[in-house]
Amino acid sequence: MNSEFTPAVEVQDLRKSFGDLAVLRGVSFTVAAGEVVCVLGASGSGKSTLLRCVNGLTPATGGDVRIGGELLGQRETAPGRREPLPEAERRRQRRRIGMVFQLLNLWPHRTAAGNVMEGPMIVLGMTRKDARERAERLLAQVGLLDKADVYPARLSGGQQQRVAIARALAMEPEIILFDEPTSSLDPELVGEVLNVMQDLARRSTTMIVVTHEIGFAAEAADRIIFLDEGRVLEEAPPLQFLHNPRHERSRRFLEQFLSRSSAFLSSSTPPPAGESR
Amino acid sequence: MLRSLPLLAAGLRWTVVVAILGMALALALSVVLVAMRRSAHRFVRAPARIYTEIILGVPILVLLFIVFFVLPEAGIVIDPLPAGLITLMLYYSPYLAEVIRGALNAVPAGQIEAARTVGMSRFRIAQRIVAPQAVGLMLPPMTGLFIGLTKDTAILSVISVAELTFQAKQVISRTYAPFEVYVLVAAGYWVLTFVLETALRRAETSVTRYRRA
Amino acid sequence: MFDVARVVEAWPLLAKGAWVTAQLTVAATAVSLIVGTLSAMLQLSGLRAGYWLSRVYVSAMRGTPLLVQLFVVFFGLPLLGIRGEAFLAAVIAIGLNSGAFVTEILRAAVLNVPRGQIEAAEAVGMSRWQLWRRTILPQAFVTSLPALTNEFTILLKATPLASVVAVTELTYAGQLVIARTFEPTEILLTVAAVYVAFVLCLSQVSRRMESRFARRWSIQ
Repeated sequence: MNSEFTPAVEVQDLRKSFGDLAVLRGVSFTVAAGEVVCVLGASGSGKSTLLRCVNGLTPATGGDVRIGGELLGQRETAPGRREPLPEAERRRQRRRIGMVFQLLNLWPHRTAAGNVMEGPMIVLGMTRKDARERAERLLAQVGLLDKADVYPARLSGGQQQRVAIARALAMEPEIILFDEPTSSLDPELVGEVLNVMQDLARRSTTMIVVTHEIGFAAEAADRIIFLDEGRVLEEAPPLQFLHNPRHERSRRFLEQFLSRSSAFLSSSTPPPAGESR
Repeated sequence: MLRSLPLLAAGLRWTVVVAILGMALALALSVVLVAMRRSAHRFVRAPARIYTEIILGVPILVLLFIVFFVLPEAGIVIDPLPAGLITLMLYYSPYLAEVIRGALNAVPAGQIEAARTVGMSRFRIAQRIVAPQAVGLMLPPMTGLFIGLTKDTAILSVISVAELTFQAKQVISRTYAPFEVYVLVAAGYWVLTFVLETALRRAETSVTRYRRA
Repeated sequence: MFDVARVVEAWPLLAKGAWVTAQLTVAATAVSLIVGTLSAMLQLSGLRAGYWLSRVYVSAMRGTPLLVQLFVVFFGLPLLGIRGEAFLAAVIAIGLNSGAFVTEILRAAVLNVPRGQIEAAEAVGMSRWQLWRRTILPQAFVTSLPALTNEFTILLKATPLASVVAVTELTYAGQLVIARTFEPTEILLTVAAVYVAFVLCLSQVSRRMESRFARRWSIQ
């Protein structure tokens, strides 16, 4: 659909303020199709807000986001003149962007499969049978086919996040955003989620991942963006960023982080059960 | 005593009818109040809030007198039964509205955001994500209110609505056995509220099955 | 239209009625607290008979209209040889009715007292009664203060029912005035306003009490 040269995501001079507080102060970057970009930064650097603006959950104060070349949330009526898109159009755009959240927010009144089927059935108008087939395929992909008919209350946090990933995949989005998907999980459950994400990366899924898991960033990212006080301070391949950051602030961030999470870097977790295909 | 049973049975039937109509009307007005209080406009929210504050302070018997005796002064003459139903509606709707509001707010925002990212419309989110959970959350407190409403239908006897308590007074005027008749009538209400509570608890269990399954 | 003169004229009688309403509320609240506390203790005492007695009491009070309960008490008292005591009948009926709800409130609060505290009190060698009086009940009362205040607001709003057995509280006083003048509007709206004022006062008092206890015990 898109030309090979159109970036999957293009963010230009994105700005967001809450009252007097400027959270994003002109962020620009692009993500190519099939690329995995990890966004790092201290808490309060604007990472989560950035993702929420990219998928339009939070309206930006200024700047543009383009998905596959298409302007998000607005349309040009004449050169230089824009108007907000109608709600139905915005919903159509949101379908193209999957999102996995920090907090566990599966719908508790739907089974694992029901959570995955909801979007395809309600939004894409799929039949129950087709949606079920897709849900089973995706649950198998995240290693949870045996939990298809279990309600979220009976799933561990890690399992819930894997279902959330399947739920996002079910809409066949062009890009998936991850907002610290492992930060509300117990440490022993982090690995299974990261493994599913790594598997997605290997399948050339376009992903923007906000994370504190530097080990994951090192292994899976094509590029790291370091966000500091609402600006992109550094943009580099992971090895370069992790071993030879250019900025003093990046270095301090990494030092603080590595001293705290060195344990995670060395540990390599086994692949999830259902990964063989 | 035994000969008065048919009269009491007729009263009980009316109590059931009045209670069900009262619940329906109160529920309808409460939905309007909830919509008003969730409005973006201050001038829509404010009247609903003030109305709620006032009703929380006015006893239902006084409200009944106002509806039945004051409205005619303003040229609106209503029969006892409609006056009673209007009173039940006016009195219980703010309480029900608070319950509904609480239940709607209790559905985590993250779940609604997740539905938005899938591209679901507001209507679909309300229908498929919020409502199924909110109903389970609002049923227990609503059960208490509906039982209260059912019991408060007895107050309509004061303006001669022919429900159970009014019929009891009729029977007493013939039998002169007030204590026995009122104990019997109390038993009738007890059975009625027990049935109502059991039914609503069943309903709650079935809509919240997902929490335990 | 609203004629203030009618209110002024009726005010002495209404004020007397309001005073009776206040007395009725305080007396019934006392009955409610005493009965509710005993009933909650009975229910949690571990005695089988006590448990069921309390459960049946709560269920009967919650399952039947206060108006009917009031009639049962009012017409039942003479059978016990107590005659012409409408005020007493109202205090008993309203107090017993509210006591059932107080039972439920306190029961929930007692069950929320941390197990460890009870064990600590037992370890110190407190008797059962001391345990209740010094450890369980004080905390249960404070944590359930908001629910209890709410319950006593409801109790206040139930006192007009006493008018049906001719207790000259506020609502009945209003009815007496109306029976003489045939002008219900001003009187009924004034009566309603006095109740709203009473309820607001009650919630002010309870808010003060809550914040005082909250500060002293640093409970949120």
